[in-house]
Amino acid sequence: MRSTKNNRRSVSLAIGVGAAVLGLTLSGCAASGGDSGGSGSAGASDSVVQQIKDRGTVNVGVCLTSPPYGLIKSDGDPDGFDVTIAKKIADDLGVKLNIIDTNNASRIPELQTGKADAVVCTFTITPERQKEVDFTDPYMVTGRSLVVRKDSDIKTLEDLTGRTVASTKGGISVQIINEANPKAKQQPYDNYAQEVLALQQGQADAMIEESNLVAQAVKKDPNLKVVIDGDVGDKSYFGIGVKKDRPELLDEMNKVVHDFVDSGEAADAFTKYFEADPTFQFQNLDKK
Amino acid sequence: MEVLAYFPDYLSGLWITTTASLLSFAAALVLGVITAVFRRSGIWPLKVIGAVYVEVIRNTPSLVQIFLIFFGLPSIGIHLPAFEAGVIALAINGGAYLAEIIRAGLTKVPSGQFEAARTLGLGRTDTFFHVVFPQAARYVYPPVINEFIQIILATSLLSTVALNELTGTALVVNSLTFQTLVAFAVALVLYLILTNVVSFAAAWLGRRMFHPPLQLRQERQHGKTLLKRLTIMAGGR
Repeated sequence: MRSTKNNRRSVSLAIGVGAAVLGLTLSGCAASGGDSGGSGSAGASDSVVQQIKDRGTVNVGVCLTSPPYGLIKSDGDPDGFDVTIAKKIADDLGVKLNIIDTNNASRIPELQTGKADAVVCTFTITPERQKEVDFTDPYMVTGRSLVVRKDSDIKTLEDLTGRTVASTKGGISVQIINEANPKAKQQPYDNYAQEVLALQQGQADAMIEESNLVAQAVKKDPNLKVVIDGDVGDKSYFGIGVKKDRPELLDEMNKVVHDFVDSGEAADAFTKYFEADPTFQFQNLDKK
Repeated sequence: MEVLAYFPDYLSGLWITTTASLLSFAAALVLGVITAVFRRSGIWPLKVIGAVYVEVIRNTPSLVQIFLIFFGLPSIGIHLPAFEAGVIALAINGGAYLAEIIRAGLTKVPSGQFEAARTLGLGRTDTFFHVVFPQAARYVYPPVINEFIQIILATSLLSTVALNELTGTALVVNSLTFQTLVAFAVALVLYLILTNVVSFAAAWLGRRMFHPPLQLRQERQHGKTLLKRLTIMAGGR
């Protein structure tokens, strides 16, 4: 049975080659991981900004299914309020911008796995999230609204008892709905676009979402109405998210945030994308 | 382990996954048998209906089918909750695949069997249920069980319509604890347990239901255990 023996030999050869390739890949990963892995020490963290500059591109996570914060224009380019900030980050670092389309639930993993250097996506600063990632100072403050269809009889948070309320996985609305009315039936969707669709199509009875998003949705769809405007739960402060222990990158992002708000660019972008003048959105941000 | 505090949620997710898979599979099996019979019948309108159904479903993504039923049907006044919409979508989807599996099984039964039964005076219905179908069932049993496993795995798509089955639960737990690796690993292990329970039960049933017994798990073939095979593959004796 010579052929069997040969086959056997070639199989073990193949496994040997496979193992060698795997070994090389793993050691390669370990080596490259070593560069960024030691970000705990000051010396290594300094190199994160330098690394981005050497790479020539900065990867910024933005939620492109939440117009007007993030959207994809008909020509295929990303646009929106949060995209404006992402562009500013790239300009500030002097590198090219690579936008990563993300969603609420993926924001923190995106940073922790290093897929994104920063995340700008209606990212509310909360103590629980601050255990996982670092936030810049807030660039905007906003509230949450309760939205229903025109023909709905829901008028208060109490009316939500036993009714279905849409939210997004990984958004803080899940907790806010729980506090507002624990007897409401939660429907957490993957992204904002599906959440609105569920409400429009009657698959959900109500939706609790960020008030500026809601204002846009109601403007586009006359069958929706806002019942409680911006006053469900506590106010939300949006910040840029950065992986933990990267002080230099965080400083750089803070510079972007302050420049964005103080120069009035934020107010201009707000007027452009939300088609309304900002009222309280950029005031008293330092009070957070 | 913060994730383990959500273990009861995982179990309720597993329960939804299990019931959704069982209901979808049962309905898909009925749809599959009917469609296979349609496609083999001599009546052309039935043949066309069967062919169109199979081709439309097998050539479109399951996710789009789920979205169409959950988000699309309300436009014509049909409001189905996530669970019902999901079960219907997976049943329609699985039915198309099962139809082809069952059709192949029916084709494999020699035509002499049919002719002999008819010659002996059995009617068409009796011939189908007592002669052709039992023989076909033996051929199609392994691929049908495989399709059942595929349906179990496909229920994970239902997380997109806000159904908190196993994957949906893992996604929510992940977003609450941020422990991505553990959150999904727990779901993975639970899926593995579920699918293995199903395939072992199917193997057990196969040995008892068919005569001679049908062997689904073949790792002991030629007297070699799985461990022995792996040793040989690795170049050892």
